[in-house]
Amino acid sequence: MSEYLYMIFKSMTHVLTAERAARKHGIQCRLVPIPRNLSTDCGMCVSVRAEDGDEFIRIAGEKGLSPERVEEHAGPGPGARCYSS
Amino acid sequence: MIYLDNASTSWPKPDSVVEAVSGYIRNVGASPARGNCTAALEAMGVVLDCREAIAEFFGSNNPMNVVFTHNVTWGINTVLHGITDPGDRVITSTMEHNAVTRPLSDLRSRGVEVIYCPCDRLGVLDLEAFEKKAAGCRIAVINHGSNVTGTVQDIPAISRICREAGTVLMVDAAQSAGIVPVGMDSGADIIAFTGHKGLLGVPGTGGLVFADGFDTSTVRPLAQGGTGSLSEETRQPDFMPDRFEAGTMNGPGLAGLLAGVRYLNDLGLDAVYQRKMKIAGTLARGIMEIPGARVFKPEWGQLWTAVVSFTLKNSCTASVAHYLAVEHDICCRHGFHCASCAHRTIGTFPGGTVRLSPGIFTTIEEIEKTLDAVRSYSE
Repeated sequence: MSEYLYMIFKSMTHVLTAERAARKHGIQCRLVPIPRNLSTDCGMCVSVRAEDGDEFIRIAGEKGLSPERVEEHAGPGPGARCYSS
Repeated sequence: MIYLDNASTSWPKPDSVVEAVSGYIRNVGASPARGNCTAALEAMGVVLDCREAIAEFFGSNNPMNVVFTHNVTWGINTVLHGITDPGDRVITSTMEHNAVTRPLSDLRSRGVEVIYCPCDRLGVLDLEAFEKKAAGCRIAVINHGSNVTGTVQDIPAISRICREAGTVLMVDAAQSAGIVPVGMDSGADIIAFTGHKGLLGVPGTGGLVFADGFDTSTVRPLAQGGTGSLSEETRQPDFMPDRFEAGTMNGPGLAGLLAGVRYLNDLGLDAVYQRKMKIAGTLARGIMEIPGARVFKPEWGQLWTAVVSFTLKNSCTASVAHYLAVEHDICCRHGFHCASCAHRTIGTFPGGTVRLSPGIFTTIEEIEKTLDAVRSYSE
């Protein structure tokens, strides 16, 4: 099983909302560009540890959001950055 | 200078608003939701903060239902043009701003029936007449606070009628937001707001707040374009808020709007209202005491957005406004205030009125000087 998951949303507003909510719950998140092999969208997605995946999805759901896709990957993500609010 | 045109644009702005706008330009700069650099994420964070603040301000628990537009006019046009088809009926009041009457006039030329429901001489909507005509209408659009008289409509009562009639209700909160309570708990389906008046932000900001459960797919977007999402598709995204937010967002403006709303929240809306009532009440009473003066406002004790519209007997409103500007450096508005329909309703067509609209920073001393100036003109 991979160590990390990409949480891919439809909108950057959704991405940041979910990421912000998850971090408030203590989940480590990184915002990374969506890899082109996963989507031709030019936006960002959230990279979380696989063990936090279910909790991340639950927290996003509380905001009325759910990822369009969840993809496994090996590392925290290329060019990973953290947004600090 | 004495600035009494806050119903057009509030001024001065709180220092925090000025700093937020300039800080965004100096330190953030990038386009929200475009790219993955730190600046773009910071920009998106500001927009999201503002979206959350606006949602909370209007009592919405879903920030995704907040859409930012260039101003309230753009928001109103989006809904009116986007929800109607030829053959539909729209109901409105005779106290509307041109932001409503002009798109309705355009829609009428395209086969939409427009019903103007009467208001009394104080600008209050005739609810009985409204109830008789609301059934079968696609949408009702109602001015919450009049920019001419400051009259505030009973939105909960109007929304109850609309709900029973199956008519969508859009509230134009351009004049009321930040002054009197207005929120989704009123029963409105859509609230259209502007950022540069009572919310203390800068021009170029405004938007729409949709009620939870409102089917936004029933409103066609007014513009299509880049959203930073679904870039591979040539069609506009159908999800919120991207559906209605084509093109680069006004990051500096939204930073300012966020600061303005936070400033209001810190003051407390009730304290803002009480202060405005004190200032505008002093002004209105003072003008009423001038021989030949008529003030057009709601009854004392009724909700009021603190605009003081008046006429002086045998005086042209343009002359009064010119005198106040040139001789006393007092900023006001005269004429129709982009709402000739409202002036026909209150009986001030075609002369219009002189409108003095104090803001939260207006002082009693400024009001006294203004009263002296109006008295000196009338003598």
